[in-house]
Amino acid sequence: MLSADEYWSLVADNIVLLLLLVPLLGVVVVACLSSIAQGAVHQVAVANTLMTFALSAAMMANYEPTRTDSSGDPVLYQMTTDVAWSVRPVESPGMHKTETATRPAGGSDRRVPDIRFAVGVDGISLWFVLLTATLMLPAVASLSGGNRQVVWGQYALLLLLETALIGTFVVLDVIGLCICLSAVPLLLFFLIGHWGGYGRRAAAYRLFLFQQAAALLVMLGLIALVVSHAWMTRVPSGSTAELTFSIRELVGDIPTLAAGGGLARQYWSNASPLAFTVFLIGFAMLVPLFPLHGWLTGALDQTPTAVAVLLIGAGTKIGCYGFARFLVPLFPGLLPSAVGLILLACVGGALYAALVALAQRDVLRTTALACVAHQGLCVAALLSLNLVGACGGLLHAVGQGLCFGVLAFLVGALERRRGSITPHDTVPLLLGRWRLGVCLLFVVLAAAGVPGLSGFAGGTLMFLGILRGHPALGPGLGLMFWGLLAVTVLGWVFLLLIRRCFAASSWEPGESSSGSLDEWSRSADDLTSGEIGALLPALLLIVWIGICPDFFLERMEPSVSRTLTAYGTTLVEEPQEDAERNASLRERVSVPNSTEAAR
Amino acid sequence: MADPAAPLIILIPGVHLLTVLLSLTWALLSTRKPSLWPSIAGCGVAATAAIGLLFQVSTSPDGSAGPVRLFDWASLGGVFPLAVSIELQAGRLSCLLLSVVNLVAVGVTMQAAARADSRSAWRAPVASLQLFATNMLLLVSNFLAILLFWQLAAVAGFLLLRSPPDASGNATDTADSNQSTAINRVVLTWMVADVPLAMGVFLIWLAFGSLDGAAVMGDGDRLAEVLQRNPALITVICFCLLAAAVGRCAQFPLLGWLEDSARLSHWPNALLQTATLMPGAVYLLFFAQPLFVFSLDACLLTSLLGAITALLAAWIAASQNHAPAALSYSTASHLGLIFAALGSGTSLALDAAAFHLAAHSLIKAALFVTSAILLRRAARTETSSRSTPDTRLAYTIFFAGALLLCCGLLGQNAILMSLREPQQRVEATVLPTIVDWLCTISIGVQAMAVFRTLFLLLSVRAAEAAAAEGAKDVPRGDAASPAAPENVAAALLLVGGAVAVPWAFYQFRFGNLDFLLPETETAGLNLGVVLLVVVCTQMFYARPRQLPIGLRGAVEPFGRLGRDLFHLDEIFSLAVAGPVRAIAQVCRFADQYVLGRLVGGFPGRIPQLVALAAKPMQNEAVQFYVLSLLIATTSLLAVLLWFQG
Repeated sequence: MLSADEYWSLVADNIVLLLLLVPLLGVVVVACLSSIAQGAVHQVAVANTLMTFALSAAMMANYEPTRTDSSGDPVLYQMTTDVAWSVRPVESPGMHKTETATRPAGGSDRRVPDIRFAVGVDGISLWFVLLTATLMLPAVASLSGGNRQVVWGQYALLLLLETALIGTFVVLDVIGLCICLSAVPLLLFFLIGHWGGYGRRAAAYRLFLFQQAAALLVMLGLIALVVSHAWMTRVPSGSTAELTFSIRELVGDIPTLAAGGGLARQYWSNASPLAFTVFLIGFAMLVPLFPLHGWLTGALDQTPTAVAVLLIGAGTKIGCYGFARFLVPLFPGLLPSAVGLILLACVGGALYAALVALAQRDVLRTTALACVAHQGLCVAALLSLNLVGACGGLLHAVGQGLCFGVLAFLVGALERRRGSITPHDTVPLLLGRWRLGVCLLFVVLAAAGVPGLSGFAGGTLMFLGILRGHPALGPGLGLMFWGLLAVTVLGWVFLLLIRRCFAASSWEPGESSSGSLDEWSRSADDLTSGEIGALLPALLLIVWIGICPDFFLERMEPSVSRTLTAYGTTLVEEPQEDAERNASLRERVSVPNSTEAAR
Repeated sequence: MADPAAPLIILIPGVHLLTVLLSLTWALLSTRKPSLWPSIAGCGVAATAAIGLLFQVSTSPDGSAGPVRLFDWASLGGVFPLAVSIELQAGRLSCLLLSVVNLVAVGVTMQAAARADSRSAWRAPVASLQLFATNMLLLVSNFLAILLFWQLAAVAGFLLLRSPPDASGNATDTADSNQSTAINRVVLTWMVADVPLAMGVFLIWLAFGSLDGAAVMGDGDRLAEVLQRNPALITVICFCLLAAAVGRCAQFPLLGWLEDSARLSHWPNALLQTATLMPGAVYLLFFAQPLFVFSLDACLLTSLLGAITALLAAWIAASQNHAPAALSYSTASHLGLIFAALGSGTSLALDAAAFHLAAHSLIKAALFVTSAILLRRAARTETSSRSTPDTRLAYTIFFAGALLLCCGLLGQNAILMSLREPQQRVEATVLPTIVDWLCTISIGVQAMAVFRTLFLLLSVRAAEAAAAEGAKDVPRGDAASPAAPENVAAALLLVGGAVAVPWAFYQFRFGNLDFLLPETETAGLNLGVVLLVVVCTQMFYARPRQLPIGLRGAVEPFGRLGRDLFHLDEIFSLAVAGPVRAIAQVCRFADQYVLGRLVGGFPGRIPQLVALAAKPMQNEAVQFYVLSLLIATTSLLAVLLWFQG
């Protein structure tokens, strides 16, 4: 029998695994209940979502940025679960301790692919998981209320989508990542295509095409990484070659091998442009960056509120995560030479999206375009390749994810009450609904970058990073100026949004689709306590990020520093274990060097 | 040893934050209508604490208190380290301004309480939030923290100006639309001015590698080193900080928002101008003086902009028929004088500017409070029946304040003297002479504007007064609430400006006190000029029909130009807002009809192409199927063979 401490320790060590299993369990329960007690489906989904959120909060509390292993090296990936899928994998000198511990003793020369089920979080993925779990609460809350019929399939697919999104951020194996990346567009396609608005089919079709194409490109890049790793670790004498699918190994080894010289370097210099290009286009489509943003603006106004919350809040963050996880650490040789152009596209795209948003009248399209603009700036900060910018970009991505997710929920709530918000709707939308009004004002101000809320903290750090830039490129004065201009235009957009929602002057009786102004003001169906409760964690997080960003930066810094080690903008020393491992790898790949020289 | 001033330093902003929380909690839990009294009490406590801190700081050997570290906002290592901590520190100037800000806030919130309507009540927590931000702005020394509280003050200003909806939910009021447009204009101007501040702060980090204001400004060697390395950078930083202050202090060319702000609401506007936004912005220029010393261009520009604003704003104020707007433009004009002094950069000029800022804030607040009393009375009664003790006292206070403000005793003379001081740096240019002339003329026009406002208040009609006060459908004959507390507050503000500020300067040895004692001839001349101005103003505005038609015709175009605000709104719309909107429409068109179809069209055709390729298979084209199978099998075999070596 386990004691309480042991039980907690067991749970704490496997929180990430539980974060994947709990929503899946929810899917099963919801499916079972569909024929027995359909009325309980919503409650079960809410309970499940609450449990997932509690687990994600526990995961955040349990994450120790300063944790070290027995040799004193920092442990960046924590709460990991690592199980082998394939039989008899090869043991190589470059294995992580956690992995070697779970492997059967004794190596072999057979090249069996090392496919594993590995999940865990570091200081980068931690926040995206928390973001997804937090936004799932309003997403599920938006499915209830009024005379809605409970459709269990919608709940089940939404919980599956949550699993896929969390999985994308936590899996540490290429195969798992490919599965999750493919699942997300598929689930979105069904959710939007079946439960979306008037033009749902076209929107779902377009979104699926873009996201699936992006996922395919990323998968192509991942396969290129696996094959490249195998090539680069191959010794000409023909003894061993590592066909590893571990993301940690791929991301850790390839830059080291490429820096080592010899054939590995030569191989990577040939292969890396292709991998870089597919990753760049794939993640740019997922972010989405200008000019590949059409799918988001086109899809969001046809998307059911629950999906819109997750899509704009967490779905669009996959791209940012991909940039931080793969593009930045893997291509230290290539990125500085291409980054100027990418930054220009990001910041120019942000300004463009902000201007398009200014000319929009539709609330959801405006929200989507504002999100595109902020995402562009986040990626620009991330690619400024210094610690302040990268941390700022990630923090801003999380903060804006919360803001836009909540904003999508509130617009959906308003739409549900109003019937529809047409582009020419001039009704005082929030008349008599002070809770909705206060929440909307709060979130819009947060998104606009008001001090004390998340937008300011992330935005400031982001711009500091963009300004500082990379030592090789120099300060990004111009980029910062255009970025600030984009943010100013977005501020104007948000002011107009507030005005549209609050102004009472343009009301003309009989214009609206849902009755007169008197009826609208008398109905006074404000946000319910349940809806407020669902929003509360997100709102608190927005305030927390704004008032004390240091809490988040402290946990983010070691992982981001590690990501940027190759660029020389951090002061991180190579951990002892990694140093030994890298030395061993370099030694191995240096053998062909001498052989080649002798030849 | 713990700093004895630490509790006071924390108390001053802390009490405002506490007030916000208390007001909101009270409103949400019980009445759903916050009360203004916690705000008044909070301002009183903060003012007392600020005066206590002023005494403590003045007696301390280094003339400062703190720093008190509250918490680390953000810290990151790496090659470019970043450390932002919320640390409070008070010097003598910040203590003086803290006292002034909180004293003004007491008076203005008391005037707000007299209105006693639901809109004012809901504004109370927001006003406290803005005071919290302003107090923090005066106490923090980290540049990023300054940016943080600077923007927080603006956001609170936005919420303060935006009146909450009426309880009745009256949605058909066209004034709401105008209000929204006006607020948007005001906030957009502030936002435009915030961008340069953000840029300036970021550039400071780039240039100095630190955001700690005390470290950056206090280290002369470091400043000189940066100047040597990149002299243009210091100038750019100064321009950025100046642009931010210009936006917030409504200096030329960003003074169009004053009209909107003044017409939106009375006491929030008074609070913005005399206690929160404007003094905070001027303080930024004081704080950044060590940087301005190294940039002659920035100093000259500051002086020139200040002088132009001093004249233009006074001109506009003198042609306004809306009393709060006239007072607002008069404030901008006085701040223009302060800018001109700050630009000259001498120690006498800085002392004079600080003195005028403190005294002007208190006296202008008294004028705002008394004008509100008079407008409220006027809105409810006809002109003939307004002579009550309350209104007589208010008129007296207004007159005394106007006289003090205009006769040059409260700093204008000192500013002019400082402008006329020989400055070695700018000997070669005629700019100081131009600035001197513009400022000298503006002082006469300022006097005309203030006394014209007084005559306006004497003769204002009930409907105009109701509109100016922002009240709707005021029932005639209703007794207005007693004005005694407001009159007391106004009198205290007047005494504060006229007596306490000079005494504080004398007592605490703020600088060279000679400027406070102008020669008898100068003082007499000033008084004579002001009296002449009063007579002229009375002739021109109170009894215009008595003027010769030719003179009236000659003066009218100047008045019309001032009333139209020099068409600044139209110019900005044409030069900035219009092009941005046009570009936005073009971008929207491009996004929807060009990019959307181009990008969406090509991937959209891919499935069709795939379907075209797959069609032969469906049509029993066996050879196609077999070929595909063969290619796939061969590829798989090749891969397997490769892995087998």
